[in-house]
Amino acid sequence: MINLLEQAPVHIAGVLVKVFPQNSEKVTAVLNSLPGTEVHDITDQGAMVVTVEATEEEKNIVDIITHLSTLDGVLDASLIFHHNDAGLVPHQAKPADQPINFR
Amino acid sequence: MSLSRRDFIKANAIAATAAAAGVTIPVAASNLVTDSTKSKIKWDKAPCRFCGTGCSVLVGSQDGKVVATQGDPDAPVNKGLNCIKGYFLSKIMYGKDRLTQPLLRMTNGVYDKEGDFVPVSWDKAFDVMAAKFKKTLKDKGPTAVGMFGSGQWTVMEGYAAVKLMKAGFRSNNIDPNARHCMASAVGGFMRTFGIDEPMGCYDDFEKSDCFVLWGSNMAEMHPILWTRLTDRRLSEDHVRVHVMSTYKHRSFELADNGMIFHPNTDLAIANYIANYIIENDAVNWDFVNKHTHFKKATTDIGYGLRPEHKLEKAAKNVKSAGKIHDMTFDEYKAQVAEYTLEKTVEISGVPAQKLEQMAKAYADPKVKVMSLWTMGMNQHTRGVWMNSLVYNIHLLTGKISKPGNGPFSLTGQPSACGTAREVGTFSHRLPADLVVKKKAHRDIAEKIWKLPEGTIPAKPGYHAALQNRMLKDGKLNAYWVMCNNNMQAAANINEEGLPGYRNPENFIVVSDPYPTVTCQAADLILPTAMWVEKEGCYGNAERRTQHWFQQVKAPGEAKSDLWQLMEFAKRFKIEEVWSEELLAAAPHLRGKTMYDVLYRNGNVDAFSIDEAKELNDDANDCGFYVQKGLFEEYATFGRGHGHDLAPYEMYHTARGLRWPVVDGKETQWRFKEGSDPYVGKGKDFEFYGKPDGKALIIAAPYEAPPESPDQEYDMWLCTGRVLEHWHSGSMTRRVPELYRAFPDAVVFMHPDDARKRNLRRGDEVIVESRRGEMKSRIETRGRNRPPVGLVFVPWFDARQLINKLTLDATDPLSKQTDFKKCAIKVRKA
Repeated sequence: MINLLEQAPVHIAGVLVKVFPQNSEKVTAVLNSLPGTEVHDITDQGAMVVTVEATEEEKNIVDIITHLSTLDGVLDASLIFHHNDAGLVPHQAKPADQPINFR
Repeated sequence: MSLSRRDFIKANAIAATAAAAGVTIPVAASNLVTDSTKSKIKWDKAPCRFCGTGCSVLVGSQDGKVVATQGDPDAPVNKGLNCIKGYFLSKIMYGKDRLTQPLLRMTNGVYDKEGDFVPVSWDKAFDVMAAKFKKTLKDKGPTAVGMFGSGQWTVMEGYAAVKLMKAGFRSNNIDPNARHCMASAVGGFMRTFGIDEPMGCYDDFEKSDCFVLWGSNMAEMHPILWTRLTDRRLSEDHVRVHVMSTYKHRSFELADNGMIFHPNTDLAIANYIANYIIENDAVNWDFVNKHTHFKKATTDIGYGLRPEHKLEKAAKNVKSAGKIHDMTFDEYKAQVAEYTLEKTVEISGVPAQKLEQMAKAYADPKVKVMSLWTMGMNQHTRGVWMNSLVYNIHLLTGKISKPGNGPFSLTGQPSACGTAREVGTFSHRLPADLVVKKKAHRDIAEKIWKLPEGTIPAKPGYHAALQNRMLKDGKLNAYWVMCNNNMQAAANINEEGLPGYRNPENFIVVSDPYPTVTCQAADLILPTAMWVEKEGCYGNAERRTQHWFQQVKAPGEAKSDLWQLMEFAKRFKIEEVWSEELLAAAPHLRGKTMYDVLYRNGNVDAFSIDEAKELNDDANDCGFYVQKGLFEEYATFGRGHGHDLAPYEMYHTARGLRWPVVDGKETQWRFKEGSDPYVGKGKDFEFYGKPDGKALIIAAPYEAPPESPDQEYDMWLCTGRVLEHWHSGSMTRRVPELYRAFPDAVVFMHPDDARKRNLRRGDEVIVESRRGEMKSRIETRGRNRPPVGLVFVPWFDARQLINKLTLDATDPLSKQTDFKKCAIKVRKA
């Protein structure tokens, strides 16, 4: 869940990671070594309950999730739960400050 | 137990994820997310704004703003899951550069095509726009007026637009951006089955034994469906996954059989599989004899380029491209017999053992196979053939319209099915698969719309690629682009799109929530309300129609596409758009506005405002429940004709319903007795889109693409999407998390190709085709691993317009552009 109205910043995501069961130990070790990433449970069919938390070294949770979803052995990573109360920061994609170069 | 706030939130994250994984963890955490008494957030459902999967999300709003979204646990499509884009839906409406007032190019207070954008009132915007449209109509007639619409329009918006263009302005020059994504799929359905859209549904994912991805990268493009497919593979040992593509991508991680084929050679592979089935006596004769006919496609049909192009002049059968010819089984057998394993290996580059493994799965009567595809097969100069070739495999084996067994065409846009295809916003179509060129079909539409006979023109209008060409040639002059970003999305923008928009003879209007590339090429920009800022319906890839209520107000003066269409219609007296001859047939319409004629016809305005929710800006502006009126008038087309939609109210609570909905019951598998109410008793299967209930097995050969790498332009270019961004990125690039996750497009290249060109990962390069060039950076690692000789470049990045390079060749049958293959070269910048 994204709750943009609260003030004190907490930024945690629950991610469901799928692996072939034979790879689960190897992937668990890699995931647990990533900043703010923790494996809580694994089913026999290779579904892993993982939380990802923004940390000092890696503030963008999406980067962590993107990274873990492209690790060898990871078949699929779905974001199930997301809490970010860092507030709604208006954002502008970069291009507006320069004209589009058509040629 | 005392938990810190952080621990509490973390416990919730674990509990929610564990629930999705199917394990229970004894945590005190309840699902506080949707407990509105605690959070004061108002929750309501809506389909996701992005792809054609059609996930349902719960949207949380507070104080007039969407503040939260989460996967809808009651939704059969996504069962509470969300992909990363879907998770950040709440932020797409709040980019800092959201457009809040109309902007007109002016110099010294007067419209000037070379002027700068200046904020104006809606009145002024519509004054100038109406004057331009009226002048064009007067000078050149209805064929000089056109509209480019969208598979992201709501059903009602698409429907209102079709009426405005085809009956109001009497121009068939309306086409959706779905022409770029689904036209070949439509062509395949119509040719093979005579009725559009998949026979199967998402329930097939949990029932299939074998999945074959024809060019699709579902892991990144349809993540929620990929999750369902992955679950099936992991939960049953016997399940197998075959993945075909022209480069290695994320879906290969799960593949039991990953295959890289040379571009365009999927045509040969599909024919090889048909050959294998026949050679190994695996034809389901009972099914084939009862339910199919053999036909042959016309070949040598050109590539949908401009008629003066040398390839079009060289092609023999451009004019008769759509004709199909009778064929016996023996003739069919002889045609596919050419595609031996050896020959197919040679053409495609796929190892023999891999091809054989896949063919075996299709041929084995005990294995339930689901074939899946999207743009790889549709954005293909032989896309319609290719769709039919895959249907051939399923028809030969009778593996169709049964749980777990069937071909499934995935969709790229949230309502490419619901709006573009079902409503018929194409230049040749009308609602419910009717077409403008058939008098009987036009009669039906005119009768439902209460308009005189002959209102709708018979000649199909300009399709997407042709619209850009006609703008450039000065034959299409008053043009409205709505709910899409075609200057970034269409091919060959240097030679066709941009010169067309900037042609001094033309007036270009673009409606969008954000200042896109297309807006910047326009003359008038109209600020547009999006998603839950209005009420609407979308239709997803499995025929599921989903409804949502307006949940927040749009910012500033932004207005929905529906409001814009209807308000603009008020600016025209019917005498200004219709001929005297037509008016004579309907004297009672004299003196009325186009709005009155089209939308105050007793149907659209049949339902009282009291039935609508209090927050419904469009209905309040009209003074009647406009969305319901449009929906119900539109539904008249399909009810009783195999496209039945439920009464409007049923969608208010249901998490969507799959048409045909007959007696309140949705249909999972079409054409199968017992599941589809339209199949006659005792028929077992009935392909009722065809007059005799039989589907067509249509033979078509391998043919070369229009442009291949040569000595100078020595590599293939394939374009597409990445997980974090949706299409041109006009929404996802405004979500900080998604923007930062994949900020700039890159050129995915094989390390050997990089070495050959003295390039290293991260180097700045110029990518160049015969049509244009673009600066980018090299990526030799990461999620996409092209083979030697091919690069993949995503097209979401407005600063890297890859469509300056692409070729506007189309499938001559579907008129859909091939964005997957052209010749380029790459050099150090």
